[in-house]
Amino acid sequence: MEGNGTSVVPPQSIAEAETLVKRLYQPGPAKVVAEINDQLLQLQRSAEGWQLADALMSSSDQNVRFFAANTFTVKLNNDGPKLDGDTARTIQMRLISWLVRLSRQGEGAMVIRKLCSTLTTYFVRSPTLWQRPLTHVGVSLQTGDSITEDEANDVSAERLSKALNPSETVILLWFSATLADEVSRLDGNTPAHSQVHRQMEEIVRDASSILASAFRTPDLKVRAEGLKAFLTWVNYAQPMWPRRPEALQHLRNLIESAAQVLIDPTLQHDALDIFRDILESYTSFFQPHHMQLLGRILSEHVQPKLLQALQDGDPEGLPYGQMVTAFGVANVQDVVEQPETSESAGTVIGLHFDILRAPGYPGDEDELSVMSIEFWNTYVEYVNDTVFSQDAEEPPPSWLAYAKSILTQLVELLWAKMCTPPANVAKNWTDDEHEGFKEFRLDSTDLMLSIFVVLGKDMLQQLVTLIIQSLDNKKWRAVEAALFCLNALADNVLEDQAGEDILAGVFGSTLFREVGDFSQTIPSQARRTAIDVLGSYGQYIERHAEYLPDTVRFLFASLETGLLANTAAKSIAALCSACRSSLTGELGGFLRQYQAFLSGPTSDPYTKEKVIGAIAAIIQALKPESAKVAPLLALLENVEKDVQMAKSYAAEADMDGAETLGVMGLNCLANIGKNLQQPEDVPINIYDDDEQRPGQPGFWESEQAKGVQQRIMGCFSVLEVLGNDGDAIEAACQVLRSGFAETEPGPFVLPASITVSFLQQCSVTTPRLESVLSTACILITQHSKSGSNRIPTEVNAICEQVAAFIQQLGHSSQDPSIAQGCIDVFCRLVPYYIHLPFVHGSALSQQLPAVLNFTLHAIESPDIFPRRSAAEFWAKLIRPLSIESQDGLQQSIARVITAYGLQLSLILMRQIGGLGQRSELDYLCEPLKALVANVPAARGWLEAALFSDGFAAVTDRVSDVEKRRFLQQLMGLRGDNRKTKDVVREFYAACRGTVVSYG
Amino acid sequence: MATLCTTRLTEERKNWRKDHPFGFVARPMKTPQGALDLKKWDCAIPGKDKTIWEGGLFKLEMHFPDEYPTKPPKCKFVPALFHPNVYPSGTVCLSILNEEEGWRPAITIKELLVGIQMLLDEVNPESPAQADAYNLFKKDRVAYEKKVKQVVKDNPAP
Repeated sequence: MEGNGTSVVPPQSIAEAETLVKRLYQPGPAKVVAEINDQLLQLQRSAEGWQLADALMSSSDQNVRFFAANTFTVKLNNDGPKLDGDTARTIQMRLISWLVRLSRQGEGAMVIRKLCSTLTTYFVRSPTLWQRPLTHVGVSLQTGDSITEDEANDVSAERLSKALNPSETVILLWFSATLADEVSRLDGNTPAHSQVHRQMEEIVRDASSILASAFRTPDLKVRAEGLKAFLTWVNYAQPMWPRRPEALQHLRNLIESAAQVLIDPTLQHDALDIFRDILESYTSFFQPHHMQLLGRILSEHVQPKLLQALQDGDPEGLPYGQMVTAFGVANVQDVVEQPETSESAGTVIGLHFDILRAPGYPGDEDELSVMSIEFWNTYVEYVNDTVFSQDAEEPPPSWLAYAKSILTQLVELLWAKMCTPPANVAKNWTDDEHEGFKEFRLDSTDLMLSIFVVLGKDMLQQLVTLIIQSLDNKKWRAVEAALFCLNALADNVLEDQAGEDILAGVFGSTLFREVGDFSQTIPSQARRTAIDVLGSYGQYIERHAEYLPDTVRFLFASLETGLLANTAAKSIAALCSACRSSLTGELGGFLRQYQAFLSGPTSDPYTKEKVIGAIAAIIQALKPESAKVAPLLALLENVEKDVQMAKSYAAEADMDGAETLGVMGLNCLANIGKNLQQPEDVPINIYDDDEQRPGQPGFWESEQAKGVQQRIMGCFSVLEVLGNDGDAIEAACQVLRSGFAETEPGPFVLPASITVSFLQQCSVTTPRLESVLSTACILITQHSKSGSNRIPTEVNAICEQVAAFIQQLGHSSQDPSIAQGCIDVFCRLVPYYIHLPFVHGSALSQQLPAVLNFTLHAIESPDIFPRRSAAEFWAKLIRPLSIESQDGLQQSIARVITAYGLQLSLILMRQIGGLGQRSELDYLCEPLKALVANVPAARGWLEAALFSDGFAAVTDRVSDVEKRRFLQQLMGLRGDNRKTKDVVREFYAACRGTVVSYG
Repeated sequence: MATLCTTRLTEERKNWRKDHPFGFVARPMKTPQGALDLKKWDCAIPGKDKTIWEGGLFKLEMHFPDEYPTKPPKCKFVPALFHPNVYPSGTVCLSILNEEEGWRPAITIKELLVGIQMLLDEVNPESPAQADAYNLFKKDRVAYEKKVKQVVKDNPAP
């Protein structure tokens, strides 16, 4: 029978019910257990629930008694408020009586605690107010029988406490804590609940009397439970009594006696946890004299324990350290402002220093250092907040000098803690320990940034001194840690001129010569961090060319070390680009070093591309232009070698090899081109250049220069073997683009026809055709600027090719990303080249209808990017040209708009009518606004669209009246941007049914 | 006067310092005078382990409007990041950052940063923000991953 839902027979007697409860606690199939549970729930909710609960309380099985207490709770929750006074009192008496009886029988904590919770439920749900539940239960416990509520009301809690034995006191403390805990979760919004909360302000008197006596007894268990109950009441009071000082005072009166437990060795850990908890979450609970008391305990009792633990490397020190931190954070004002007069403030600072001074690595065995960062963050932020909130004319606070001296000491301690462990220690670390240590270093540098705000250049000087001292002693881990700190401060140091001279201490030292001497054994982390310094202080080195040779030589030397190569290459690229003019004298050396590096094991595509670009940047700074030719050809030779190798691999059918070499060659070429660009921040003064006077042909138009261009274009021949390789095509595009931005002729400024013929060699199946198309777009944009020359022939050829792509695709969904690229090309025609498709009888004009249809359908396609581009294209086409146009052009365009206007309107209205996505509405508004603002016939088209079958097929949620109102609003706004968008969004919502109606 | 916005941000800063996920950075920027500007944070998000983003650290700025936490902060990668759900400007497109979608005032800075970290590897193809990364992601996953690894190399975690 089991498993078909009828296996659990409803019990017919108390005995059967008891058996069922016992079965619930026995292992069995989950389904049966669930059925038993259902049956028992029904019983608990039934009218006989009270009797059942009371009967089961006498069971010999603890689980059954627990269930019985729970049944009382369920009944009280369901029916409590509906009880009449007499029944309620009976239930109250039964519950207390069971508590007393069971406790005298030595009942375990599980059932007693449950009964405490049930009594709390009674307190909350009873129709009559239970005025003094603690004394009522306490007296009953003490007399051994349940007395009436009235009898209990005259009892003094203090006298009661004395009369209770320890086990009775513990039960009463459980009840007290349960009361505070469960009532704290009631919201105070109902009248019944607010009455309960008001009563708590009375009950706290009894609770505090009982607690006071609990803290006085020698019984450990009683004091431990007293602490827990105390914390529960404090947690209750925090949100409830911010404006009830009288009620709160009962709890505050207990602080002194509770604090004595902090001194008790056996309960110290519990007490530390509880006081730390209150210090962190409810600082204002403690008043100044309480803080003084805690401060004394800290100095006399916590301090020695912590110091001992630090000395022994004992992890048991943690709770003591946490207490010191919590106290320090809670009293930060005192700690900062009164360190010399307040004993505890001095202790807090001293101990936090001791924590950092203790041996051990953070993340490994030293947890306290990690934790102490929080205290110091609070400290330094208090200093900063106070100093920055002062008026400028106010004198600095008197304590500032002392705070600065503290922070100066802190910097040195942090630095010492940040030193990486020797390899024999680190190799035994787990991943977590490595992460923990790294994290400590990061958190420390975060803290140092805040300290820098206070100390400024003094701190910089301090770090520089640490670097130099450690360097003199060849303590490389110490050098590394200080450099690491220096890196973290870079942005702030560089903001301020004051750092310039101090930094000279580092950059003018032997540091970079030493780390660059690879015959010395230096931890590679130190070299790595030194490389990072060059990255973060690049701006400084730019201004101090005297330091460049040492630093860049160090970087080139690092290129040949596996672990350092990538970072070094990146730094070389950044430094050479920024300091190109100062490095021209080093060019020959660098070229030789580059050749040596190429034959080594660390040269890979990434490093090669970075470094070749770096050298190109130096070449860019050479003068005159003709001086660039020889070193440039030297670089090109390397590219040509790669190209040649790629072709050889291809000839041997090793396409992987061909791809790696070929793509690398082209990427190197692109990087050369990019770095040969005129830097943006250099003012261009064409009149100063003795070779390039206006009107005269410049060097790069000479025959010699043309030879260089031939060599560059020759590298494209690698595409003969890699014409179907996406990465190669993309790299080739990058080469082409590198010349586009230049305003003067240069080696990479290739004729536009090169880009055109590159595009013409592509088909819709060419990989990364998107890149080629966007390259064409950039070309058109560059030749649409006010100072640039127009290239209609080339653009016409581009358009013919792109139109052919469009015809091959047929529909944008065929390949959305190529479709987008194609439409973007046509977008760029406006304004300077838009006449091209309208030249009567031209090939392109024959292709125009296909292009227009394609873009119209793209607006309806599910693909986001072609849709957006197409919407933009139509908006641009409809708006009047921003330049004076050729005769008849505007009319030709107008004829096209007239021919396509209705269709476009229908497509737009269907999208706005709910077909499109909400996030696309803004893009669709563009052509719509253009129509409304510029085309008189638009009203008729839009109206026809809104009332067409095509629109009706999309939505039937808007009435004709709503459509008309929409149209009227749209036309009335005359293309206003924000308002049109709002109106369209509302109409869309109405069409989709997300709002009730439109308007 | 402390506003809801600054009170909350002070709290966020405190909580972040107490507990933050490994490798992440989040710190208010400095004003020109040197004080902290709580409404602008410099952040950094590490690529998640065992994904193609592993080993990278990506810088991000968070700008909090006056209406924060009613309105979400604007999160922007600086420099812009190659990712289908990052706009060409660097702004992150993520439902929990959208006032009209998933933003709730209870969302913490930690949750935002971890959410963005997850987005790195869990691309949402439904709301693309930049065509370059999106197209490559859709059409040529191998090339996409290669490009991401390049981005990681250019932005290595310390």
